[in-house]
Amino acid sequence: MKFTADLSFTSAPRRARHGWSPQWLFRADEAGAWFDPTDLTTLFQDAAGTTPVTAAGQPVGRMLDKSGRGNHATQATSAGRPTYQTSGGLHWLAFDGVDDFMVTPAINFTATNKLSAFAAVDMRSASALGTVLHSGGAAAGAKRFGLFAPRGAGAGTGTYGIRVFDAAVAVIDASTSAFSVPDKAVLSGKWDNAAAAGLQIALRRNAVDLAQAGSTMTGNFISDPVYIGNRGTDLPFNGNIYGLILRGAATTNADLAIAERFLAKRTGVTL
Amino acid sequence: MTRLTIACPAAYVGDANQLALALGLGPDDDKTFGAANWHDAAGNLYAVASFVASPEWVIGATSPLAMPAWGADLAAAGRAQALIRMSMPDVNTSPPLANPACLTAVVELPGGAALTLMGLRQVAEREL
Repeated sequence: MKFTADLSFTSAPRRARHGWSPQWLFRADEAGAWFDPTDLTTLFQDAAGTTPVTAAGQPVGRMLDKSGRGNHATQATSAGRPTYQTSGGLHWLAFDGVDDFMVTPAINFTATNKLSAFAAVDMRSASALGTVLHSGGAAAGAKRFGLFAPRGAGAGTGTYGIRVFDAAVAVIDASTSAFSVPDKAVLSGKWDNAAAAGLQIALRRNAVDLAQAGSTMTGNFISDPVYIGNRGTDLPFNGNIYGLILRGAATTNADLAIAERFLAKRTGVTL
Repeated sequence: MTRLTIACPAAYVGDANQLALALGLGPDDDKTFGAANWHDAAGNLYAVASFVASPEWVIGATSPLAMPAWGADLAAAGRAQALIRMSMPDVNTSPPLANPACLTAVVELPGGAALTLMGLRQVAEREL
């Protein structure tokens, strides 16, 4: 019998059962971003990052990306800044459904034909279509993508939606069933241009598969800023964001499950 | 600190952004009012903004304007200032409907509720 032990040390993110961090999802230098309003050291009242957020109700003009990619989200216009809120051990950014949003620098997804997004949200209103994240702003563009809450607005209920524009700039959507608002949810979106027909985009809510659709989109994604809370000029999100992860890769079922549990804790959702 | 939600008629967006610049926190506040993609029952278009305003902002909005360090067109800002109509829904008896001749401001209410009270709806989504 032979015993071996690996005593090597590394500074790379570890996939520990306890203390798991979304940095694990970026261990192979995947493009993307991870935003975590629970971590006050990442929030600033101004876009330059000179005045830290210290208390509930303060505006957030800069939110640092914890993925290590440096894709920090900012809002230079003071009226457009979401506010930091905290209660019951939870922490979030509140978007007013009018003009609040943040935007990252261009994130380069040109090396991948797969994307994964995780968003921990509280959809507070379903009266009008709202954007959780969207690449490239309001103008249509081939290979742009988005997550919506709600996608379908109604009287007190809203669906969640996932989108991609194919190479012909035709919009392809998939929507979930409707949920009464307010609705806390961990959304997991998948875009895979190489997937089997009918499965190229898919959306889960609270670890349950709810929507999928086919897409004629081929090839890799593009390099675009990513808007959080609206599309730059329209479709504002009325609700709270507890955490957001966007990565330029497919996510294994094991990583998907642990990422959803991680964000569920930050949202106060029981999976 | 109080939340203000303002509906600005499309024709006055330029002046209103100069007012926001004069009262704001930095040079990018000239983008406070963006696309006019909200409309009233008559089809008039408005740009909207909702934010938590400091007491200084509220006082400044009704006081003689001063040039900020980053500059502003104070003549344009003054024109916009003259059009502001502030409403507090718990004080006023009539709903503060948006008016194409005024900058209608609602105090305290959440942004979405304020816009509903003003009779505004988003222009239908433009998919492409």
